[in-house]
Amino acid sequence: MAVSPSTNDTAIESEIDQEVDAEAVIETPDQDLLSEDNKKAADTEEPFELDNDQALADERAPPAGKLEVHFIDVGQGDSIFIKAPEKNILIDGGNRGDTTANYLGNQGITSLDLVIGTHPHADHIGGLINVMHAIPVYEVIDPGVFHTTVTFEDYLDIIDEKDIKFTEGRAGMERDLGGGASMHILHPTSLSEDHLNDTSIVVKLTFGEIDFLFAGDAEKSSEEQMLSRGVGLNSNILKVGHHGSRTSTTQSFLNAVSPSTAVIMCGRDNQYGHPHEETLAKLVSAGVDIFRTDKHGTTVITTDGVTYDVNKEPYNYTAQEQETPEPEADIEGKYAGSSQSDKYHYPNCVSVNNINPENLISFGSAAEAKAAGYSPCGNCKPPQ
Amino acid sequence: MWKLQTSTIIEKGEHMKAVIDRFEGDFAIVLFGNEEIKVDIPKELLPKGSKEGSWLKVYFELDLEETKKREDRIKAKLEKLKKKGQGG
Repeated sequence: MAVSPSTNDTAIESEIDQEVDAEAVIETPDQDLLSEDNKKAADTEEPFELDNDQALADERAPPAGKLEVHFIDVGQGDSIFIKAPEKNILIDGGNRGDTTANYLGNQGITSLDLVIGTHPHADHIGGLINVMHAIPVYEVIDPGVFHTTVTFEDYLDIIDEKDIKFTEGRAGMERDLGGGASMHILHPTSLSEDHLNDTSIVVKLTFGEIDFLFAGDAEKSSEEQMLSRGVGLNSNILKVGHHGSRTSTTQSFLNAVSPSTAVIMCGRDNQYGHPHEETLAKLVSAGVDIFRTDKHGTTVITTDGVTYDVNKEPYNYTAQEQETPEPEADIEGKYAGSSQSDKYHYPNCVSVNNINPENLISFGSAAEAKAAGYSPCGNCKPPQ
Repeated sequence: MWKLQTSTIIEKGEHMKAVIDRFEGDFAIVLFGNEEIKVDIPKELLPKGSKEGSWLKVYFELDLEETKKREDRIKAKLEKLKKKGQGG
């Protein structure tokens, strides 16, 4: 499926036009829509750290190569591999195990420039441990909030052991990824939240005219914060927050992102009902093409910076609703009896459970049972 | 699920250690032992005050007395029904 963007043709242009300085990160096209109050708040936001900001300004040229985003099927969890022209980035690694490490190995990836652990839950950072054991990683960006699990402790230990640069990710940070790709962090601003999902690092990846928004497990309150800060949310592709849970993807957030394509990362038949119907319905009514790792498996989006292509066909929500119901189990005789007795019963009568299967007989109707000389059971009282 | 016989989690006479990784809807996602075996537990089965990151002491102790009591009671009920079914 190939898609051409229609909504944010001006995004890159205006970013290129701007002086890249400490405030540029919040100077997005959307900001024109902000109220004066919000502008003021945004202007006072802390300046972001930038290793080489002049270089970034100079390199903001239209991209030449291609960028791939792999939404890896890790079951119930997130793992997203970004192959930019000059950098390899991994956002989350799914649950503990080798799924992501093996996937990267199969892709011939021998090192990662950047790993982002969006937040400390095991279905996001677990798989990063084996990745960091397997291949060199140069930097980890993490919200810097602690968790008490063995998984999180092991994740910290391997970062320390391998001397990987550890950076606390905060809204406003920007990274030039070379080759025309860049990355903004849109959330969190601080760790005042005690709800770990809402510490999720939310990343916007820009390649030419194409923007991806990776929402981690950010929920409603994070979405509201991003909306009120007026960060440029508008993106072609949305990695839907929190596995498509109803606790994320508020209508106003979805309107602001205004994606053409959404990817939901969740496990087949997961016990949490992800993605929730409410989220699917919002995406469908907004006319968004939906891709789901539980239905499509690993999904890869490739872009040249002008258009993008998804290696799967979108999930057909309507067809799913019309899915034919499972055939009902064959209903044996309407009433049951034993060849060793003269009573007939409802099939669920406790007496039926005690009938030796080789003696079990069935009757299509009470009349049939009576004609065979049987009388109704006194306990389950089938019709005369 | 884990197998009691082969579990490395339960030391003899000790409780299991488990930690609440997160909540998803009505479930707490609880990770047991150093292997962090994932078990989804309905929230209402957890003690008050449980939150993300809370560690739990979990005991599974065989209750032989209760097992025997229920065996006897239910066997008797079954036998009664068998007689009824055959005689009825």
